[in-house]
Amino acid sequence: MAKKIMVVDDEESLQELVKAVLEQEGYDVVTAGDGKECLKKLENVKPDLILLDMMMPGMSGREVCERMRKNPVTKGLKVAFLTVAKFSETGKDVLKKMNVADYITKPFDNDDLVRRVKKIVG
Amino acid sequence: MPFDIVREIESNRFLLLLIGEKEYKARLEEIIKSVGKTNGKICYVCLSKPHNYVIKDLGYMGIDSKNFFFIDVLSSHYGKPKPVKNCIFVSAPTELTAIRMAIKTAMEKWKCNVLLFDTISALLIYQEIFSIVRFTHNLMTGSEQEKTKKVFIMLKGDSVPSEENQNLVKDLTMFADKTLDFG
Repeated sequence: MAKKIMVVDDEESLQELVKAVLEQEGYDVVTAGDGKECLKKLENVKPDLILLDMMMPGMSGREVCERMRKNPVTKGLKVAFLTVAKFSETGKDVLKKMNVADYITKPFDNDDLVRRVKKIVG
Repeated sequence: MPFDIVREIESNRFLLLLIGEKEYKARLEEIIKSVGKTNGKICYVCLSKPHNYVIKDLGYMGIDSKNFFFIDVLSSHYGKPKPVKNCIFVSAPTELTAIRMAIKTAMEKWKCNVLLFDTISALLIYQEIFSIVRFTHNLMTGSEQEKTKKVFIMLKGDSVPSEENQNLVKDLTMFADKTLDFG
């Protein structure tokens, strides 16, 4: 069965791009336009990896991840940040504490994105 | 003061300082005096009070304001301020792009080496967290300000919505080199 990836980003064009790249590699991709939609969808979907943007209206990626880690149902899900944000060393420590698997910087190279996703979910 | 601010400014590019409302005045004085010791020009973004009040306060503290350049985001709200040499007036705190452009101008024309933001939490009244975080990130990553030290003051207290304030602190911490909590 295809591995499921959830892409959470407020930019629709980015969602579509990542979806197209990952679907070509055989992944099943679901999308969410913001943190609220992501958390709502996680009530019914259990993705193998969530690619999360950091700076989104309503709820930041950091807050979404924090909420996921507090919820027994979602706390074990794999998360990687896919973001334009440049984290400081302090920020990287926060990511480690939240058990974030990776952070990929936008703009990204398609091959690099696929390689890193494969490394996390296989 | 629990921290050596001069040393912290020297060794970090982006400092986030968390101050309780009751402590604000005393701590601000200590911070401004410390920033003044860095021997450079300071770009002071006034979000808590108009720049002429800040200049008066500096006078009470015994600090010469000649090394300060001000971005006044409040005065235009109360009327049309008279142009002054060492200040740019931004029309409203909602105008984040204008604030950023004013900061850029201050950096280029005045060669300020420290950016003091007093207080970033005041923006929560006018903006959602996302906009403030993006604004701060843009300031952090803008090539024109690579060498500038950024000192952002955040208020903790009753006048600021607690959950929003906490989330803003947590989000800004992702980009800050160091966050110092003054209690």
